[in-house]
Amino acid sequence: MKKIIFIAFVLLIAQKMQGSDTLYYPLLRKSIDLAYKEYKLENYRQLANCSERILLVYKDEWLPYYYEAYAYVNMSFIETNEDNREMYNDKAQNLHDEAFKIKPDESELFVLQSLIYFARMSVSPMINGPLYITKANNALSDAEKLDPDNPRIYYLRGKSTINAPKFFGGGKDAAIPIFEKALTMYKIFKQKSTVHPDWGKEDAERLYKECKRDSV
Amino acid sequence: MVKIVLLEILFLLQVSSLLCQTTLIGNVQTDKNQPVIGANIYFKGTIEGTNSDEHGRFLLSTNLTGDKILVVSCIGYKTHEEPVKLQNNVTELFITIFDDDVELKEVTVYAGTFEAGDKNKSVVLNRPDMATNPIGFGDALSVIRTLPGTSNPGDEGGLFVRGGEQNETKTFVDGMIVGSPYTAKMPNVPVRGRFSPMLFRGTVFSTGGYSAEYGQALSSVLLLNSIDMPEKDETGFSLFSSAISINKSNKWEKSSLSASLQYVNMSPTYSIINSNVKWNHAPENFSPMVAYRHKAGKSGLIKVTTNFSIDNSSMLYPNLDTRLDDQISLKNNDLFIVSTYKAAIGKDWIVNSGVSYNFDNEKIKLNKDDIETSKQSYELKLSLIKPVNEKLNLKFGTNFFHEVFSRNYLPFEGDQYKWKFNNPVIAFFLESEIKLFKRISTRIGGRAEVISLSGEAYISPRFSLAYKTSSNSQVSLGYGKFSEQPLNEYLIYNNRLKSEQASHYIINYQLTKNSRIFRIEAYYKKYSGLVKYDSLHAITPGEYNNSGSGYAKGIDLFYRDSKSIKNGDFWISYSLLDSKRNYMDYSFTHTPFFISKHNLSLVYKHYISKTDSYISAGYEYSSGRYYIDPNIGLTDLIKTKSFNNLSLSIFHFTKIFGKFTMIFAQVTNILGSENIFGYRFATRPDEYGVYESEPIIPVSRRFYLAGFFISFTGKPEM
Repeated sequence: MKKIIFIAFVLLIAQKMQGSDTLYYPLLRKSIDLAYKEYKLENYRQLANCSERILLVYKDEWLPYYYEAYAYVNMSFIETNEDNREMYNDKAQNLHDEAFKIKPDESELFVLQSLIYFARMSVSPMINGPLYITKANNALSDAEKLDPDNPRIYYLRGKSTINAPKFFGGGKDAAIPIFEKALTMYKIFKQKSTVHPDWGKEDAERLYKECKRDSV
Repeated sequence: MVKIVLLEILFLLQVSSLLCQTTLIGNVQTDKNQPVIGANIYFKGTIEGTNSDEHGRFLLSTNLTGDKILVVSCIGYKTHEEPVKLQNNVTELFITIFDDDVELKEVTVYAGTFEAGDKNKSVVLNRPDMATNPIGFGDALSVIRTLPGTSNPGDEGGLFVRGGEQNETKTFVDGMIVGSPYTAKMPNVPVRGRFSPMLFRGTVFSTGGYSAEYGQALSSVLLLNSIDMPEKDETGFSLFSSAISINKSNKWEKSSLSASLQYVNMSPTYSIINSNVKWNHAPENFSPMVAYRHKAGKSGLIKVTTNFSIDNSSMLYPNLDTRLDDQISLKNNDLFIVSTYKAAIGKDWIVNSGVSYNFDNEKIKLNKDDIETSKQSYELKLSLIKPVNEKLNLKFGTNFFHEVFSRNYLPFEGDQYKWKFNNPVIAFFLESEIKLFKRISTRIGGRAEVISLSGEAYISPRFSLAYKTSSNSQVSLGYGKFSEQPLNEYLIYNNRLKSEQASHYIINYQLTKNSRIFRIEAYYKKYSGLVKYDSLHAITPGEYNNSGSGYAKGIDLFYRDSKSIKNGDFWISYSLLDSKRNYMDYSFTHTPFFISKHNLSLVYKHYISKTDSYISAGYEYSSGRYYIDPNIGLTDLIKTKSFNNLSLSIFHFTKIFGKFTMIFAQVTNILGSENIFGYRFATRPDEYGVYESEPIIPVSRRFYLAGFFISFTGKPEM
């Protein structure tokens, strides 16, 4: 009896707490899951909006900034209009910088930084490619220094290796061992909370298979 | 019993939710009646919210009650706040939001400036462009000459901007003036820039109307901003057909040290290709460079850059009067040290200070006569930037420049002459950037200079205005007065000469969209107080005066497109220039000899991914230049043929012994055009009454360059 009343009480508190904005994790998680469902603009836009609403209330948390930046950088990859892409990249960079002020030693933020550089490179590869490639790689190296077990480092490194010309040590063959490392790291990866970054695994598996298939 | 309690609680919860729920149904659209997709709609101070759908519609239910503020925000639009009363009902809302001027807040490009580097959207050339520039690889400044507003007198070299002479463009490294930006001049051999823009993080090239922070340039400034800190350790080695160089940079937590060493010797090249110059000693250059960076405190940065160079060459030059060859030898030593300190002071003051030292010694031996020229100068500079508020930004400062110039003429026989003078110049500048309206930004300032040599003190006003016509385009205007001391060549004879003056009027339109840049600029430049004399090297001061005048007007066009052709990228520059002057020893007002009316340059780069190569082609065209043939008449202007040059370069990236290697080859003047820059004449007629003449032609009709660069530390930074 007591137990049941206690559960009811907890339920009541939980519902009230959600109503008064104290725990944003489930809300953010829901939004993240929706974004992951399908790689399309509106899914990431709702993640951006949801994160923004959260960060305006939880100003000292880096994760809402992180997710809004992450959402915008993905929107930049999906979007085709170049001016919008630039605008999304600028926004992502600003949000990243805010998150960085809160948590300067977070490996994930360096990964995000390199992702923004990759987005900038893809806007006009002829001009931006040579400008950002070193910066993007340096950001990944910094991320590795802070947390060598972060699988997203190797996932992004592998992805950029596929596209890099052979003379820079690029190509699908060269990417295989990097993806292998990424997949090992994904296997042992433990998410710190329900909303800490956890993306990239499926894409890493897909790309790894693709590289394997083409290298034979 | 238990069950009942539980049910009751649950029931109460549900009912309370139902009872206290307000539903907002609405629609978000722009002021042009377009639906806004994905707008963020939420109650201020809460995380309760929703997004608008593809028709701009939204539905938001809430348990909140009372007076709240509904926020509607969307990237690219101004955030809208709507007060709402939540009273457990259904409310309908129609919300209109307006374009945000985020883009309008960005760095505004004023009339007359071109930016190169990697800073922002206003950049027209980036570092790889400089590295893979197909035109004139020997000269670091050649990439700047692919921009409009410049002309290319191939016998002179350097930068000639909008009808201005070479000395009217001043070069600055980290804000400090460079005393000798070009290599020393030999007859008919173009000078080269001592500093490669490649070595710098960003370059600002102003073709007119430049900021009050800079002075002593009638036409233009080239601002080179050095790299703060290298991104990583680097070691490289390069070998070209005429040059060898090594560079190394090391980076530590708070500081970095970079050094490079370059040796150039043109004799192997001239032993293969024909040179139109009879070299006794083909040009030889040795230049070491050291750069040190140190992070001081939280935001401070100390930068020290030292550049030393030794040049050596000797040639036989036909003397049209004696009909014998003169032997001319040149030895030039140049040292430039620049040290700057930049830091934030307090909350929002930024301080920039610098010290520089320049020593340049030039020894020319003309047959048996010696001419030795020395320049020694130092500069102190301090500038402060204070962002007063969002709309006003102030910048002010002072600089002190002191030069000692001396020239000794030591003939084998006959009288010796020695000249020497001190030339201190003090300047103060103040400039404010004011955002007048949301689309209009202005830069108003002035520069006061005190020149003790001529006893002058004057104020030069500067004004710029930029109007954003849309997020991608803008119109800007520029006006300014500019002064420059006469050349040392004149001051040694008459150091009371006043400064030469120029006024600039500029109007510019620029459109940037989807990796395409288009700009058009028209200008008018009026010269006054130009130095005039009857004959150069007259040693009586009275022979020189400030009575010269002139003008230059024209239109510059620039178009760059890295989108339309896959893997291709090109830019076109065209300059139309009309200029007349009466200065120096001109007997009447006419177009100066270094000016071409039409100037065109086209650069095309193509990336071939299959072979990892870049092919780049450059074409330069200048219409004919004027000259006066004393055999025809001293008032008749005759025009040379037009100048044409098509150059081709190939850059191939590969790996040698596992090291990143770039191999490149370049050929100039593929079409084999016989270019003539003008003619020179004997000073007196021969026994038949004819002035002996000779065309002024390029050092080589065609040039070949090949070489490679190896990086021992991975892919070098571009």
